[in-house]
Amino acid sequence: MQTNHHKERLYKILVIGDLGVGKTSIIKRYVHHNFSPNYRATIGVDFALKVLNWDQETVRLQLWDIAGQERFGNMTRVYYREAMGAFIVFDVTRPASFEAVTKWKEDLDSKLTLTNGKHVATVLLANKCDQGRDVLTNNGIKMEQFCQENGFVGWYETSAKENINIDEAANCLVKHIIASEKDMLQSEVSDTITPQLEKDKGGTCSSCFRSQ
Amino acid sequence: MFSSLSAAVEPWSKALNPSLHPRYSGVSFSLCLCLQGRQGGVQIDPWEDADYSLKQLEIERAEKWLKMVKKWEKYKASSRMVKRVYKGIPLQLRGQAWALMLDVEKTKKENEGKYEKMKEQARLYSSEIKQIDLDINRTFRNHIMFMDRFGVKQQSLFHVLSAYSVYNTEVSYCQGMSQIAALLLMFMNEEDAFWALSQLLTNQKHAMHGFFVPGFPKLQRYQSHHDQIISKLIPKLKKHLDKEQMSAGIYSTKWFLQCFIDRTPFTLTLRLWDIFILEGERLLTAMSYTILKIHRKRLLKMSLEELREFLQERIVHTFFYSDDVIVEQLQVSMAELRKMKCFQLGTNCFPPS
Repeated sequence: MQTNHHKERLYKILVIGDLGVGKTSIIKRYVHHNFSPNYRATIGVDFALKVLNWDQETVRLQLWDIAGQERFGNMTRVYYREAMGAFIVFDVTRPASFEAVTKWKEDLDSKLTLTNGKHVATVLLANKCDQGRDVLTNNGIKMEQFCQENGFVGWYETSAKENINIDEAANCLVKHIIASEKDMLQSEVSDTITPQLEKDKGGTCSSCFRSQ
Repeated sequence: MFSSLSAAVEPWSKALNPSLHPRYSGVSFSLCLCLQGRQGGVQIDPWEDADYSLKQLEIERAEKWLKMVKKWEKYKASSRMVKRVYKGIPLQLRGQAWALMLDVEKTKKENEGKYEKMKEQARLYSSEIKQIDLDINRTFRNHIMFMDRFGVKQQSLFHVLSAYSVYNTEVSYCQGMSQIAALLLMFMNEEDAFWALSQLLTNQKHAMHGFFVPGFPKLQRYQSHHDQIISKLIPKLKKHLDKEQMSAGIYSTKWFLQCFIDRTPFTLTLRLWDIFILEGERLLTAMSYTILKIHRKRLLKMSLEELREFLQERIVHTFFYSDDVIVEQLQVSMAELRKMKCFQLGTNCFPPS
């Protein structure tokens, strides 16, 4: 899926979280710049493409919208493959959806690791912030701590309805994805053995070392 | 946990008493509502319809159907009835016809008092209340019957789904069911819709139970069967879809779980449901194949994103052909699949050649 020619990058990003927290709305806002209160429940999976200009390069984001009902878990995990980043979304007006965040994170980490064994960059979204703030998200320090303890690279209060912080959150995720990609490339280099021909040992074995 | 549960129930018990709601009295009213379907904003009043001959046809059909539902025993196994279902059941009689085909009356009689009991049990014990509530909030919201939050039809939908969640404990509530129950409620009263839903899930012809139980065993069988059919009959397209990584798991889940609700124009959805209720699960197999077959030339030129947009959004607004043409094509597919013995799931209908 990764196409690197013409300096174009394609990243697959998962959007997960409990049922009805606004995953589809966030994606539609980000990709199509609009909001409707009438989105239908996502059954199974869906996806959308966002094209960004990033440091004179084209970055294509493939955002995967994953059904929130637990029952769909086994069906949708297939689509985690090759993802480079994730948003985990909860609804600030529903504390239960925040309690589920750690469950989603653990599930994500257990099903998906990068080639260097690290977890994919994940940003936490406290959505529907236009509908009043949760006690919890009021406490920025606590949230920072929560993110650190649970391996999130950042968190944002978002509103798909009012278009608050969606672009910012996405930029943050892309930045971390690019960083983790560089990190991956570097670790690949340091782990790789590069065989070199030692000239003075002479060609002891077969035809491949025959003098030219 | 308990407090959040009762918080979700509360608005439903507090909401309006249906019999007091002025907008929902009168049969003819609900009839014209149905015509609008979910094309929000496009309001064509049936009595302003300039196409007189079409209207005439509709009246003639309604008369024929009225005769049939009155003498159902006589007609229920007739080829004339089957033919008329394929032409589309008139709106006024759709609910009655569906109920007759699904044996709703009989099931209801055998279970007298059960629905009320389940409703009560659900209020006390259903663990799915919150999920049901969240999904009702986004079920057919463009349709006038389900537009009002906690309105009378939304209440019926809530009761049907929550009662069903304690009635069939293996399925409980699964996403996808709210669209089906809502569609039934457009044409039936609450209790009939409950038993119609129950029939759709558990009778032999439809057996949607397997689509909704955890693990979705029937969905997986149907999707791999669908893959087999298209590899055999439209192999070029199948190769293209594979190349673009567009899998049946992505595009066909709603086709099977909701029988094309949200995935075809509303008028066509209704025609497909007429046939689905009559013929059962084979409609799903045949229509899935038909959609790809009809549009294969267009689809062959599309990238993954374009395929998604086309199959999940574009053809919801326009199918490019009239409903009659699609139904005709569907019948062609059915004959084709029948000839190849492709309706027998489980058996490999295409032994390796």
